[in-house]
Amino acid sequence: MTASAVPKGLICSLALVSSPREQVASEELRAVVSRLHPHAAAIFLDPMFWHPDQDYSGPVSAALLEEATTLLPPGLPLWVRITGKSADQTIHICQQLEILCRRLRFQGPLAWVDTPLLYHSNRGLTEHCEHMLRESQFPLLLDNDPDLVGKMAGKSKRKNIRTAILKRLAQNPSVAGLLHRGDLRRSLNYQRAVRARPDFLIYDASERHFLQRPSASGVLSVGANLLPAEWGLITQASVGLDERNGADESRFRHLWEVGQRVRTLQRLYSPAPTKVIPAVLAAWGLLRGGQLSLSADERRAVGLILEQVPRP
Amino acid sequence: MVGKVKESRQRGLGKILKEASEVLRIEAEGILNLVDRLGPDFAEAVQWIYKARGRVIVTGIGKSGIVGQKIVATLNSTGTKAFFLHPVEALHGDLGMVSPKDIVLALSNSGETIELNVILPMLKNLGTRIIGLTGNTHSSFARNCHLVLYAGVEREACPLGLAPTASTAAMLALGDALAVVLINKRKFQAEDFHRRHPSGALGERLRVPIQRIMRTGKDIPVVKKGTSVGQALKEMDVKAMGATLVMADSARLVGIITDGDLRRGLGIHPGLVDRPVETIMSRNPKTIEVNRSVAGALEMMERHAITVLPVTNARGKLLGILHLHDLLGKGHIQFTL
Repeated sequence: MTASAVPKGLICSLALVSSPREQVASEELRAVVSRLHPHAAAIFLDPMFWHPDQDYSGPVSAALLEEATTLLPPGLPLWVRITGKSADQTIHICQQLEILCRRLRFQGPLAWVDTPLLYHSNRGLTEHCEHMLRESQFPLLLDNDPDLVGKMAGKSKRKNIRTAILKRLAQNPSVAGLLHRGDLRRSLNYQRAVRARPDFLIYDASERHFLQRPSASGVLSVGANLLPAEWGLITQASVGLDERNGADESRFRHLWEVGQRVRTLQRLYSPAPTKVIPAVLAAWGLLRGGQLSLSADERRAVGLILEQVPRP
Repeated sequence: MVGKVKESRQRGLGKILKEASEVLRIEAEGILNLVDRLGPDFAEAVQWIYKARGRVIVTGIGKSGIVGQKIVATLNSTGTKAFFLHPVEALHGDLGMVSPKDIVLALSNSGETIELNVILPMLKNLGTRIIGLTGNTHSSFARNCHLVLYAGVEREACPLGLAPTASTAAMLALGDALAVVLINKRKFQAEDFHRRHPSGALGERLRVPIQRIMRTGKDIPVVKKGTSVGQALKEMDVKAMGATLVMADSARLVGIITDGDLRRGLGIHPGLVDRPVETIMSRNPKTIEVNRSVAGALEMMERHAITVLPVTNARGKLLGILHLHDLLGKGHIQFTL
């Protein structure tokens, strides 16, 4: 396990138009990655987010993983979604991708990302993660997504990882951090629970929350696909908080203006990021497709973004 | 309509209070987070400062610099000699103030402040030991310190990285922790605190009306016009004020003789002790009205470089006399350490 697989900073969720079953368009991937990597602390492959309507048997295809490992600059961490429909499937996915990495001679830095409450309850979660990571050389990041769990796993299910369970999970050194999407109070409780692990990072997986009260670990951003430099600047300003922030009037004004721009765009794409963002990237010629079945509001959002953000 | 306006105002108030409480929660958690990070390095830092034969030199830039200045104030008032060294000023010559006996306490949340990373190796070369307070223990700054105390936070309260908030609160709290542990180590007593805080009690004293502290009646050193200088000397000696007033009649103040006047007179007038006081007295001395405060009296004394001030009523009738020592509390407050 490499500690550098879980860095502080901007984690860019790579916009994926091709579904896991389709052939990976190398040029598209290269175009998007090349825009992101100067500003990203890590790149996240998350087909589960970008293809929510598609039924999939594996969150990341072998072809996609292979392509990504060759495109990423050396040393830039890669995060890979491994969530399946059940505990067994998730473990199987993790094992298969682990074998693939060995075949590719890819030693990282890489981290797995899983939303365990989609298929598992809090009870026994510690043992499940231990079992999953036993044979893995890479660390695991837990994704706490109460909205998604509530939508997909039913109303009766607990939607958040229990604080006491997180405390136990954090005792496993292979569990490197958490992507948090809940409210501030929960994030502070989680923070308290993992105090014994100074290297355990809690990222903001909600861009909106990060822009209001930034985590010192960093943010998982989808909007970085559109404004990589701006997201990079805001994240760096928030994560590597310089004691001169605020003192230099021109820097203050610049941060404020960039922040307002980022916030404005975030409000435009956040109702449907998996449709709006790929559509904008397609309009820029960076991705093919991506303009299918947009609603009127989504088309309007795309139009407004294209007006406000110059083509790269 | 009125109801809607009221509702909107209440929503606005609610939003403000919610945001404020979030800020306080974040900053509180940031400080509490440091509890579990306290370890042997902190104890070692305390030992270094306690045993140091020199001073604690605190340095930092921007918000960390301001925090550093507060830490200096706290250390000084609790028995640990400290001063603040601005990193930029250090580069322009102030490094000369540093000796190998000193301990440097350097503050940098990001750990990548260029000015600090330039002067730290210089401070090391001078033979000082460096304790670093930082949120980034893997930074260039941390590598340049002999001892690193973690002062980072998991979340800041300010959006968009505009200004450090929780991180400065955490750094401040850690500085307080150092100062307070040192108090206990030095067995610092309350009297020591007052000795280092003359302005604490003095602040209260400044508002007191001079009527309450002036000397009156028989305690006022006074001689009549025509009295010999020798007699005036005796009066000065008995009343122990270093001066005596000269009155033309029972109510009219015409002059003052101070130690300085005597000294100057002795050099000029032979047989001075037998001469009348008018020979050396300062005529029409400065006076202050009785309804003024101690602050006003102090200001007059400072302005005219005098230590004794007669007090009169609005019509100039002598009511009392003030000495600088009376204004400052006569031995209750000392300026020497």
